[in-house]
Amino acid sequence: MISFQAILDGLMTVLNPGCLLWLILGVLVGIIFGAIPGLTAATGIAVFTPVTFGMEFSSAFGFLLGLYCGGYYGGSIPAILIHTPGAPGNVATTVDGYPMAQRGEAGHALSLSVTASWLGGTFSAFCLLIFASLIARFALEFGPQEYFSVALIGLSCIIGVSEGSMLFGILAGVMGMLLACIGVDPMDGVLRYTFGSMSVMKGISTVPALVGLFALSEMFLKAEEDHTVAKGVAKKITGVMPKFREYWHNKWLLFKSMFIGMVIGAIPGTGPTIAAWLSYSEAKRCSKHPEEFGKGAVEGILACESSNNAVTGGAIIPMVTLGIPGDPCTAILLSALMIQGLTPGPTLMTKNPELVTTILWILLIANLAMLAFGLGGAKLFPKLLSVPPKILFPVVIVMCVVGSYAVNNSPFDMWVAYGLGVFGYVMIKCGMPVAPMVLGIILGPIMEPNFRRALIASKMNYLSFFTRPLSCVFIVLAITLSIVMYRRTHGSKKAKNK
Amino acid sequence: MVLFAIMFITAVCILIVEVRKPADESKNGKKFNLCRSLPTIIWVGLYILAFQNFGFLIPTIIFLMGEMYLFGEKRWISLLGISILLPVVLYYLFTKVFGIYLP
Repeated sequence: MISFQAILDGLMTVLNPGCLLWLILGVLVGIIFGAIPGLTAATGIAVFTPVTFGMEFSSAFGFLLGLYCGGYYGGSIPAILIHTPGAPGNVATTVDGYPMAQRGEAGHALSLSVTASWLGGTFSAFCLLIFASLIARFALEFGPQEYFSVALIGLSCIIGVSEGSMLFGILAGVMGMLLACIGVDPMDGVLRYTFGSMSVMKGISTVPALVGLFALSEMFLKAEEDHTVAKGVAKKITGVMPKFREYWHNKWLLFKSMFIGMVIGAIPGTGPTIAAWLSYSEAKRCSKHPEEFGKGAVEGILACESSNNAVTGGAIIPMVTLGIPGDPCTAILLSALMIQGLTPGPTLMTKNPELVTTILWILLIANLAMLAFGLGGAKLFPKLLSVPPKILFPVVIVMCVVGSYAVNNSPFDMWVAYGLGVFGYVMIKCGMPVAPMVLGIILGPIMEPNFRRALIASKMNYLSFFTRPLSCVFIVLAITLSIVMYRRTHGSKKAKNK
Repeated sequence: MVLFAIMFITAVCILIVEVRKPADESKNGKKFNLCRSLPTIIWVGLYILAFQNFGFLIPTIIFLMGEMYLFGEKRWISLLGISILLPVVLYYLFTKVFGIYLP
């Protein structure tokens, strides 16, 4: 268990001017990245991770985690003001946020969203503290079988994240795993798909791949649109101050949404999108007056935003305990950990006990900063949304290219980002989801070596995945999860067709 | 190699299934609007090529100018101003503040 001393140590590491400054800057940048449609928290973290190269741990993570929290919240601003979600995780917020803004209660909606985000983020930060130390105990007993089956749970989420066709989703996931195979074989050093080139030997690095798939492809998409016409968003924002009674009235709803967000975040590979929709439909199902949802219900915004931001702490749990990312953002954060010279995995917490408490404090302060910016800056948000994209997007492209170069100082990585950017663009155009491919790229390198290690250790006994209790539990979980998610997505489609 | 084979087979299987049934499904993909995005794609490719050979500063300035033009910025003052100022600031930030080497 984490001692009181460790918690204080964590606070001491965070409480220095440099770290706090970076943290606040991170939250600001995060809100901006989140608020601009097309740019997400994942894009922001991918672009700025190389920048943290020369920083010390607390500043680097203050900046990146600030970006993470701010980014998840920021997406709700355009969702409420202009009916365009800033990130996929905020789509559910538009359903009730925009009608509310149209009623002239934009300020009220914004304050609800930022307070709910703050509550969710803070709740999940404490969950991280409790569960991380619990899981870390188990983690030391994790063999390759367990790692494989945990990654399998994540992979089963492909069904959940593939909008549209599930087959396309699976295809994208397998392609991602194939891409992850490129380079030196992790077990016996065989060169795969290198075509005799030295630079391909290292394989496809995560950061450039994600920069390409998430950010560059989105830029290419944006290049199609006409940006010469500016959208008018100027509106009066009033009534920003939160009312305590509203939250107390909805305390169980808030708690349930935060819990859903935290759990969904902790499942490898899932993200805020699933969490927000799930808690939204839960809130609607349990509400006494479901007919108000979609017309500007307070509960709708509270549910989406609190669960959306509760993903942050939840997603960090598997990252620090097992070295498995909980969502795309934490996948990049993992690379940031490695840049700091820390090896992700079960030993991370035993070797660096102050790490989790430092992250806890960073999350708490970042959420506070987010609340302050959200309440204080609400009047400025409409202006933020009117930054001309014709200047912004070229700058983001430059950051993408420079960022993917700077991770490893390798020109090859720029081409990786470029290639995957074009590829992702074509994928989106063909109606193929990008998220499963990212899952494949992230989880492939975890699954493959552990699968083979497990087979070698058990003398090619495939049953060992089921005879080990923990591993068996995880596999059963993965199977039930796939069935439940398949039913949900499939069922909803049928309902729509009717 | 076991996993490798499995993955290849699944990929091929899915491809076959995809080829068989996509007639109605592939229609939900959006239309390509290549005349707008292709210049950007090519321009970014050229930029990376130039980045590799001539370093950061000069290609970035030229790239930003061209890209902003492609995105629809037509005023020369802001084109020139931003595309020269920004790379210089970025270069300074990266090399001095973050300690990253740029060519």
